[in-house]
Amino acid sequence: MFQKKMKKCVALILGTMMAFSTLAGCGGNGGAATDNNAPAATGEVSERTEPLQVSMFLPSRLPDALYTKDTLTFKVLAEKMNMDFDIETVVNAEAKNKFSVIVASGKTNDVMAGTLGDINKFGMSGAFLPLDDLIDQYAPNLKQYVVDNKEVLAQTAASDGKIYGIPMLTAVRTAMGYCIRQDWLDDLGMEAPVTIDDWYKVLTAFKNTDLNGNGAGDITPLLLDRAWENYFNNFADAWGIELNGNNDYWMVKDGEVKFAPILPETKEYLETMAKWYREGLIDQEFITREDTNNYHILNNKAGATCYWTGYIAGMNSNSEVLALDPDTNWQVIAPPVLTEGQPQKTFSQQAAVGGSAWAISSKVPEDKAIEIIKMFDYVYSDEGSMLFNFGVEGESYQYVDGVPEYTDLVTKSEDGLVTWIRSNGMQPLIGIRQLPEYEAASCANDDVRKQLFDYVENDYFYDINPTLVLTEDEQDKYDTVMSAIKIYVDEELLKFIIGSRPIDDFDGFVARIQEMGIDEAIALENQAYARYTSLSK
Amino acid sequence: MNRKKTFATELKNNKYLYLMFLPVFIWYVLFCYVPMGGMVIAFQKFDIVKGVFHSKWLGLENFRALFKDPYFFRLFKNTLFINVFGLIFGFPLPIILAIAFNEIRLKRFKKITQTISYLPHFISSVVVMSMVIHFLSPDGGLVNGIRGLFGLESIYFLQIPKYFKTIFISTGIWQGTGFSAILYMAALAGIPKEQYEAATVDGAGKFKQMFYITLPNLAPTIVVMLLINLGSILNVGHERIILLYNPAIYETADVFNSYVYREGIMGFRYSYAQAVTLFQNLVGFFLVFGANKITRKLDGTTLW
Amino acid sequence: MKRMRSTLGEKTYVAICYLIILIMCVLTLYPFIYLVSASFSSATSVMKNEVFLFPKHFTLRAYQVVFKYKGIWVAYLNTVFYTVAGTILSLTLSIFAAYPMSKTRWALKKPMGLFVTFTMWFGGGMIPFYLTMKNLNLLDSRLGVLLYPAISAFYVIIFRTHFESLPLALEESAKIEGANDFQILVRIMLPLSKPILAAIALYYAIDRWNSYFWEMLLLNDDMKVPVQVLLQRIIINSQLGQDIAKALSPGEATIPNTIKYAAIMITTLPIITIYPFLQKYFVSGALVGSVKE
Repeated sequence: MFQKKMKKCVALILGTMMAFSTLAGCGGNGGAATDNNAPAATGEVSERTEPLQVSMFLPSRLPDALYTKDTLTFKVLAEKMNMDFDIETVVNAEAKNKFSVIVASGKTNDVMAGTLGDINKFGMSGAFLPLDDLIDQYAPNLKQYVVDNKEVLAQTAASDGKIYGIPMLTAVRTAMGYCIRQDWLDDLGMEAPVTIDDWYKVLTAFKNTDLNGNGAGDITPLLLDRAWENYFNNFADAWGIELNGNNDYWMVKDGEVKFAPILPETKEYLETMAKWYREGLIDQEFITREDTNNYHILNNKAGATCYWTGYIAGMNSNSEVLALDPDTNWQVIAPPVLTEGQPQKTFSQQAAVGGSAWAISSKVPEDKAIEIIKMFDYVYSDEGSMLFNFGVEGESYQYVDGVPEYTDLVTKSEDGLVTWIRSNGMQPLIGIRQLPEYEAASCANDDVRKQLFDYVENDYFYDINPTLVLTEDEQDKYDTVMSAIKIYVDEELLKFIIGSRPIDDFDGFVARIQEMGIDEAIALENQAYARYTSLSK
Repeated sequence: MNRKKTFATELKNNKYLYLMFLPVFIWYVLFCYVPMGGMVIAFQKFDIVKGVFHSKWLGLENFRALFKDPYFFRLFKNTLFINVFGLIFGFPLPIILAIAFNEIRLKRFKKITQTISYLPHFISSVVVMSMVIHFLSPDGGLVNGIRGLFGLESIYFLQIPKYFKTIFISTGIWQGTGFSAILYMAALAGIPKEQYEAATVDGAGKFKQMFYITLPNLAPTIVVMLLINLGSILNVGHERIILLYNPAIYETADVFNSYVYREGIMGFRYSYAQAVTLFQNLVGFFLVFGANKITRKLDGTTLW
Repeated sequence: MKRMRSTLGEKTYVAICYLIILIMCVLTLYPFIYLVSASFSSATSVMKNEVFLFPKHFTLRAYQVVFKYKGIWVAYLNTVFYTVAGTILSLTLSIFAAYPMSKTRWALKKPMGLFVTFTMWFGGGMIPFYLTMKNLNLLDSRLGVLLYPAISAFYVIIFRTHFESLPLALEESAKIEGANDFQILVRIMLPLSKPILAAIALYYAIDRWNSYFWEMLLLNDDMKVPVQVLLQRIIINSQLGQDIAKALSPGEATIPNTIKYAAIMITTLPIITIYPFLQKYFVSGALVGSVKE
């Protein structure tokens, strides 16, 4: 249930925290790697003697460690830039409301951090400065990573083509992966499943064999996790369609935007899922089960799942899991296909541009805005990136063979690495560049690291489906049509899977969607896509 | 002339009433009526940067969109049903509970049981709904466990539309009954003892006393509570709904507030949300306005 | 014979009352026991659905985590302040609103009744309210937190209904003795209203104690926030607990349910326990003496 509630919050924070496929659009770029040719930090401090006062609104990442100006990274940043920060903050989950009331009150802080979508929306209404000229003149790093990288630019710019927010750039493309109990496969003498038919055989074997010693039938062969609301239709990957995500089911196929649920592939996908569900291969309670991955895995009852790769991989070293079965071995495997030899790919991935961003209030005078954009630029520089990913050299990290590693201060801290990082202001939800080195260094062990980067190394990724930016007029028309259609699709997809609506009725489903006016929405999306492609070229 | 005089006498006679009410009046103006201006955004395409005064005027466009919505009827129906059945089954319970408590003479027992009765009110809905899902689960859940004892098949309660209203309403009753009973207990405490004493002397038994003394004395409170409930006939709070429903049962579970909540998230559609809210409350208000006229005639109880 | 029957009837009646209460107790108590037990259990045993009646793998860890929260004691004091001061303020204003509204001789009875109740249906929503608070200079202010929810129309109506039910004779005799409306209210009406005062005070206090949404939006300074705001941070954040959790070992950076349960215990126990202290006001018969006077 807590996940249930969580999924509601996902909508609130989706852009902010994960944004995989939310603001996507880039193809092959596996994130923004550290580039040694990056221009040097331009944080050259002007001839100010007094520190410049800068007020900021930032969402904090942990409830018991809200940011202050004494938070490590911000303290260092302020010293570096000769600034004095006045930080206003709330926990991230509360940030959206607070952000909107602050904007509405007109008393915006100099710097406001929020979701990129909100920043663009309010930016176009005049709350934030367009940053294009400032970047051009004063911010070589931002220019390199945001403006010159057309894919990033296309995902960052508002529908008027201007940049209002400096986004967070993600580093590792891996999101959810197909994970399976390798030790059980070995027990059964089976190979890792490749095709959907293989999966069917493996899952059936999981169901009919007593692999965990609790009697046959105790295992849930496949988990679907609705905690992230619309991220349980992963297996549609095999049919080359995307039914996941908060992207309202849009996908780019054959050079145009299509509405995935009405494609014939969806019918085949649903037919397969309905069969699996009927035969008990899928968790019968996947719709309502809370925290399903933890529940099943900690009870040694899960055969396979499609979930955050690193999280599942970490289960291999979880003492509770090992206590029940010391041989537990979760391994990520390639995405399923229909026939052997097809390219194995998944839509589940992190977009290059994360959903968080920061912006400059339109009330800020020009000379101050120049200083702030320089500060933004410094945060994007290699030096600034190290600060916001690793902290302070010699204190929280050191180089071992040229690779940054966290020191014992971090790894052995009482509440663990992640808590330490977040409470000291690293990985904040602002315009930073996440470094792949950070992802690697924060993995629990080599096995997790290997699994996390497995999809990246094998490039198991479809081109990401971009979330297209609509103009205000388009958005109005879109909302009128799509709000009803989206409800309908959400409902019926589930009904098809659990069998409360027979799959023979699929044509009726498609007809109803057309009746509700999907063609208009398709046209709007394709207009937006044309703009998008022109920006990214 | 005459009018002025009556006004002066009124002011003089009720000087203290005016004095008392003055801070209340100021408070209502500042904290309720000034922000109420925000209702106009229901007729606008509200932009929070531009504010109420500079947003685009849309007239009734938002309302038209609401009525044209293919799900309007379903939302209306679900909301209404949940409230009507909630009232039928939930409304009498706090009264019954309060009357029962009133008969308890064991002081300590009463203290403990009363405290227990209003505990559920304090458990946050997130946790309550989580427990409901646990109890209804076919996999080790209490309810299906009991069905199992009788050889009945497990039911996936939360995947089948027809069960939702019962589940939702029972949960509400469970959370609210003890808490609402407090109000009736206070009202019961105000009934003069002589009335009961006189009735006992006349030989009226407890049941008779309940019908001829207790309930008539509670009547004003009951009527007021009914009127207030009537006023929110098109409101079902979104929080508990969204914690319990899922798309497979939207058919019976989706209500105005949950719909607006999802829409609101989808893209800051403040104006649309305000239009829906305004519609819900207008309906509630006019219902109460009418009902108030009736009750005024019947027994003089009114909300204003 | 007749006497016998009535006693039997009476006994049945009382027995039914006890039965109703016992059923209610069974239904309401179990989930609470579950919460308490779960809050003392290990996080994984809760996740694994192992807790039914008693704590499993007993641990105080969840409580330790919550009490370690920075500022929780200050927040607790704030809550006590907001609750006590707020309840007094709310009661006073509600009585001042309800008493005039209960007097038929008051020319504004009806319009003001409508004026007050109208607000139960109509309001401007979040942003206009926030802007109003800002214009009143009540952002990040304790006074703002005390004032914004000061009057609830619902409780005003309850009070007014109660005052209307008090015998007019009381007021008339006091008037003859030269008392003004204010004195009548304080010296005669209020002492007769103890049960309803206790009930509404309890309701207001609980509302105050539990309130967090606006406190969250209005207050910036952590020295001013009530404890429910901290609790909500824990609860909301635990829902996001796993957030990406991608490269992390399980358990890290996630907030287990047990902590949430512990937080609920810690923040609700004090307010729950005030009820037994108020209970004496719910005993009937308070009216008797004064009416005879």
